[in-house]
Amino acid sequence: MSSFWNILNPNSPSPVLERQLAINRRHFFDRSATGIGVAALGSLLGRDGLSAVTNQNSNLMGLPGLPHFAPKAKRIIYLFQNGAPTHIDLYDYKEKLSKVHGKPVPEEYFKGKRFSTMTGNPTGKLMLQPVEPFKQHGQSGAWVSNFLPHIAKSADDICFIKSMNSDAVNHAPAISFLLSGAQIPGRPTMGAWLNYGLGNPSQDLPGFVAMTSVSKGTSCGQIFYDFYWGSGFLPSRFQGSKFRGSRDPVLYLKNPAGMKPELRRGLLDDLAELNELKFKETGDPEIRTRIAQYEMAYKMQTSVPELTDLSDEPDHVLDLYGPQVREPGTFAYNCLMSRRLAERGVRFVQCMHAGWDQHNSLTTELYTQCKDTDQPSAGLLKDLKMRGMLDDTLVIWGGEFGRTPFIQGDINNRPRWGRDHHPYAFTIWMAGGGVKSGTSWGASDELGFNATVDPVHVHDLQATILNLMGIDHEQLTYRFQGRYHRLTDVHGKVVQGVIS
Amino acid sequence: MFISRYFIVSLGALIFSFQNTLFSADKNPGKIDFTRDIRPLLSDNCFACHGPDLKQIKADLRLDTREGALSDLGGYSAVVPGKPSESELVVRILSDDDDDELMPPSDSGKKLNSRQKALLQQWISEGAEYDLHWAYKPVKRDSPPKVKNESFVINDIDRFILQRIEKAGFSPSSIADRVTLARRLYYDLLGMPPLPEEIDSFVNDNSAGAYEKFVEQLLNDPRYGERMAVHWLDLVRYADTIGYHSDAIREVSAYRDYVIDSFNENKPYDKFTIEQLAGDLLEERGVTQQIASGYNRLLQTTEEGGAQPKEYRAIYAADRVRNVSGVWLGSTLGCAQCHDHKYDPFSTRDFYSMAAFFADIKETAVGRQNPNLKIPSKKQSVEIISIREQIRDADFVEFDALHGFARTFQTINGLDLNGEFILALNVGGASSVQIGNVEFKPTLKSVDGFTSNLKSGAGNAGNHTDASLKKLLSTHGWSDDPVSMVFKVKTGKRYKLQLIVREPISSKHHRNFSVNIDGKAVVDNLLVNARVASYNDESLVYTVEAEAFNDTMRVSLIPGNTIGSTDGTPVLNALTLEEVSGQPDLIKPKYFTAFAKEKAKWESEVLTKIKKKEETKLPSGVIEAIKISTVKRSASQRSALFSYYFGVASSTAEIRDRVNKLRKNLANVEKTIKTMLVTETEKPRMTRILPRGDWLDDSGEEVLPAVPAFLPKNKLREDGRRANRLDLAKWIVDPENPLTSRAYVNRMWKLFFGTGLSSRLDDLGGQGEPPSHPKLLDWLAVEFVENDWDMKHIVRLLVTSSVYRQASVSREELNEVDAGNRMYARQSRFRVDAEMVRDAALRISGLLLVQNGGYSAKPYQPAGYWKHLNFPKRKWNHDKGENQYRRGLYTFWCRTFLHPSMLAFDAPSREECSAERTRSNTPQQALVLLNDPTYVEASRVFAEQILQNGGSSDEARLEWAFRRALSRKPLDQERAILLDLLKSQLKQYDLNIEEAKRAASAGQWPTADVLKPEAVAAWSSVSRAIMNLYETTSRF
Repeated sequence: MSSFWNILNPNSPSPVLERQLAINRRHFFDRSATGIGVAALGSLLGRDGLSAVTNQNSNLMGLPGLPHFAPKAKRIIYLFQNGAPTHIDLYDYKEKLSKVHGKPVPEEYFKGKRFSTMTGNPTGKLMLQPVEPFKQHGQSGAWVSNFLPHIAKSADDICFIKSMNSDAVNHAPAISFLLSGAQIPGRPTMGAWLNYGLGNPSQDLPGFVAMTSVSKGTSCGQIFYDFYWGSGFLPSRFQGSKFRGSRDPVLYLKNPAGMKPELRRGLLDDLAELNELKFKETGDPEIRTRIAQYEMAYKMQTSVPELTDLSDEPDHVLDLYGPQVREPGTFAYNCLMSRRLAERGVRFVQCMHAGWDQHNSLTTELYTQCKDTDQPSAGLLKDLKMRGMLDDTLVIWGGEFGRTPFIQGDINNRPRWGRDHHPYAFTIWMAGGGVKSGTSWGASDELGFNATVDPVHVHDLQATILNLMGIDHEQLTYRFQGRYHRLTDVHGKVVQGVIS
Repeated sequence: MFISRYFIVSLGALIFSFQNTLFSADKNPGKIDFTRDIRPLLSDNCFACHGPDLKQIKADLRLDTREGALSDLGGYSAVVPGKPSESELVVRILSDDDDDELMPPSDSGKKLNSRQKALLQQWISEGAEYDLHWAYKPVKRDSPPKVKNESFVINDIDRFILQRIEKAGFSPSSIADRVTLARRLYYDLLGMPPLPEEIDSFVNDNSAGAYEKFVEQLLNDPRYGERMAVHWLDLVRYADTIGYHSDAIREVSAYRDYVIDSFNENKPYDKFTIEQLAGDLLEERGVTQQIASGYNRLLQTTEEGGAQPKEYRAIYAADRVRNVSGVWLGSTLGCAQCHDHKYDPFSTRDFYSMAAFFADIKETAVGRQNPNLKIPSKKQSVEIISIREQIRDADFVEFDALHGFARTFQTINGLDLNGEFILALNVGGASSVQIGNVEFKPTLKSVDGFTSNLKSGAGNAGNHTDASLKKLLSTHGWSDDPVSMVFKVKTGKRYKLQLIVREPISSKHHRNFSVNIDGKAVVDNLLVNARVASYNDESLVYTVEAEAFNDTMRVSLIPGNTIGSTDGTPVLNALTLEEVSGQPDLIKPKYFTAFAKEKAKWESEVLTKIKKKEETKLPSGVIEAIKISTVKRSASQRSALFSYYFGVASSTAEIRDRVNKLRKNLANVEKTIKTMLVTETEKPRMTRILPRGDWLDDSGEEVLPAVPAFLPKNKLREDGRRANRLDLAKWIVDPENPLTSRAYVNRMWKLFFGTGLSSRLDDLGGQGEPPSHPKLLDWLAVEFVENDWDMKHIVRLLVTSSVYRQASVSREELNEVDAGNRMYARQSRFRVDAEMVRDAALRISGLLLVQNGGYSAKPYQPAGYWKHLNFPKRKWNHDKGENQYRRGLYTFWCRTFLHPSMLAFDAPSREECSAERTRSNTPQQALVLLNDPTYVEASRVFAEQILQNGGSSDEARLEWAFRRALSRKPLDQERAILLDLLKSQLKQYDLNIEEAKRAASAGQWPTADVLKPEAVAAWSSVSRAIMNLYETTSRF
């Protein structure tokens, strides 16, 4: 009978497997019921050979058979730039734009295309040259604008993808699309999929952490929705843990007033013993998971404050990230946190920064925006490289779409220049973890309007990211509402050209 | 090739013979059952390219129908019944040629294992019989099977379950002990653990029927409705915010309360369904049905500036199709948005035809959804009526009668203010009354006609001798102001008041009103009674009775809420008040005097000034009017003159002042009235098939509302009228609909046994799971329908069965063969839902506020948790008073930032229909239970309770605490551990009184100052340990 229930979906947690695990756990407990303090239990479960089976119910174990092949990256830090950075002004240098500056956008570029309601029909909109000059950098000669001097210096560690394109023209659907493969909320995001598939290698931290920041004084900060790091229909243990931008990054982490750690420890030990009694009576494996999760919670009470305690960071490291690094909640601080999380084995760090929505502030707020993110992004790369972590850590920098090569606003009013949403071509970059460094992949046309050479669709990017983590994107599935779902929906092609 | 093929076939059969046949032991061991064995295989592996989606079909081969599978593919067929070796399907699945031959192709990522291959071959050898997918077959009741162990059987459910257990060679588990049963029933039926006093009598009652009596008591407990509402609110995606973009707040809590009330009243499921989908279209609809129709407004909407209305119309339409098919049909019709369904016979046309049912719902595509129903509480109604009564107090009645008349009078021919009136109209909010061109002839004759007509009860507009009176009444009666009539009556007699309201059936317009006789004393009764409406042709007849306390009786019609205003005008046809044995007399109203005199004097003074060409500083309209002699003034001139002078006259100053204040009060009260988004209709928008779901593509064919074409009774209307939501709702609850009853009883089974009989609660279709006990599922479905969709009846059947009463303790021999407990040879056990986790803590500590319904509550939430909500920015201010201690289901449901404690325990954000919650077990849950202020406060208050009520010794106290939280005494070991904990904590708190004081004052609940803080602190650790036990918030 049991086998019958399992043939339907090999990927869903199966009763048989659960049963198997319970047996293993019981054997473990029977052998060790005396002599091992329950306090030590969690770390034993996590670290020794049993971890592969014992933690099916906690965060730690991935699916059998995964990774599908040898991974090039073990973890990901996604520096997500909410609001859509302007590829035209930052990375995708087009000489011709200066020549056509102020001329109407040629119809053949936008015919039949959809724009945000703010632009509506682009007919008659005037082309706008990049705000800052570009220069070539490094051995690779990558074009990067003067907006981003630090990233420019790291160009040789970077692979730029200049032919990105998306289906969505508004922020939330586009971000959701990029992170979960669907424009409408409710699907698991990349980090959830990876933890579901590969498990969480961290001993005392969640496997998927999200952090957010916004440039000060920005007028275009969008909302950070929980579903950006949601687990959708996957079990909730896979959702991203939101680390908040304060000294107290995890909710409910602090003991209540009047409860010192040693008091708490005694309480937890007794609690574990009491729960164990109930397990013996009922044989319910969930009770054992509960005991282990209380231990994880307890460990996070230590590990998270330790994580956020920067006293062990020397100044020369902190300085890599720029002056804001000491201020919790800034992008710089979050970049440093990302490295510290990666060091502790966290599988997927989603570091999101909002404020890139320059509809009318290319010549004003974009400077602040770049200043807040440029040095921290480059600093993270340097720091990882210094520690030898860049080889197996994949860093991704980019937004949900690009911005129009034509203007939004009055071309004679420079202080209010802006660009609208533009999904037909944009640039992101990747570094480390199995990516060809010092290269550029794909291209947009001569106006930066449409991705023309080796276009990389959002689903292709997702397929490639999974591939770098050792996963065949077509094989990582979960059944919900009557069908198997995947991150890449029914699309996606691995971009072999960016893989080293 | 042929030889090897035969070889493989026999090998396959061999493998098959080794399979565990426990499941298929049901009948005829080894025989293939298409639904159970084959359809899932084909569906999973083949239908994507060889299924119902004709656009995707490859090689012109369909395997979802027998006809397709057997069709001639050019000299050969995929399936040749009885001859696996000649069947191309078999050749292809066994092929070792990866590139061309093998099916499913290797690049599909799908793969058949050898057992599956063997099953397919066996199926073909046995004749390749197809069978309609189980969920689409008519629901049919088989007689319950015979079982060996008759003593186990309490009701027929037990036979179906026991038969399977016996066939597998096992026996059911023993009946759980009374305490376990009581706790299980409390969690399952009321959603919280019991207090000792709530279950003691049951636990100690050894008489026959004690269990049934206990169940009955719980089914009648108001907490039952709250518990059952939780699963329904998940399904219909109930939330307090709009979801998209700004995720703005909206008020729909009245719908939540409707759901609670419906479960408590045990509203039949068909009625429950119809009211929600089409309450606004019902002929007999009151506030309840309107609120129910709010179901159609629960979807996610947007207010985002740049969003495109057309796109969001498409998003909303799809959302509704997904939800209605998921909630009621257990179907994934949503999959057919872009292409025909790949696994079920739903077409894209079906999808958009379903969407068309909802195309008449009036809403803002992008922007704020404005509340369109006001729901005053009883208290507010009374308050409003009381203020209105004050506005109508003695002097004011005189003035206001005048005010009303003065305006009315302008159009009354041949009548003067000094004339005799038999009917006094009292218009409370004169500023908004527009009489317009109404011709008013209130002669004695017409009133006679009026009353006699009423007595005949005809209620037909055509019968009225005086249409104008009717019209006047209706104009007043349905404005925003009350209308009063004063009747002469006999003190102490009873009078029957009857109102006939004509409301065209086609009307989209509905209005409630309350009737008030002589002030508050009878208001409540009348409000209640007035809702009892019966239908008489096209008229609603309201009848109420009241006793006369004086020799006059003032009947006030107080208009309520307007639903819709686009067309159709409800008309008050008639009103009569009659003594049960006689006819009432109408009396003269009181008239003004002072004001009229002052006004006449003023007019003449002004006239004098005008003649002297002195400055009057009056508006030109007033001057013009005064110049004209009284009899020659036009209606509007009279009105202008009256209005102006009323506003400045010294004789009305005091009244004006008083009235202004009262009106302000009234407005303030009205501002606090609860509102609701309900369904209103407009001309149905055109619905077209969107090719590949692309809303920009207008090339698709237009469709009209229709239900999926392959399902029974799909022709909804013969009369050519466009089918509407009411037709849809009635079709859904048609006894012949094979999905509705199955989907419902399957979900009920899941609530009380842990998994559905078909475990995919949201998909009874091809990608769902064939039920473990198909005959039981159908038996329950028929039982449900035949008992008039009685929801409590099904619940009662389930929880009084023997199967339900079994112990949930693991049994080694069962674990080996039935790890998922799908044979139900024991009860399931699980951690309870998020809401119940909260309720348990509050209940055990004694903090829980027991109160059905109301606005959503805001428990403690970490500061800054809403920081990222924008447009506008907002702050969570947790409730300060007793509202802090409401049940979990009342928690304010913010879709993008759901309360973190609810989220941690797997409460869904309710963006989509959630038929089933995951049950995770995470560190975050531990942190919530240990550190969320709600739980910290609860453990502190629980500690105080223990110290105050638990007796004097620590042992007694511990026992008291255990009984309260776990309904049992502690085991020796537990006692030892906890007393030890107490001792060590006491020791540490003794050394640090400041720490103890901090621990002993957690939360906003007043502290018990008589207690020593170190005792409270130490006992808080013990109470916290007890409240954190897995057992406390689990159901065994």
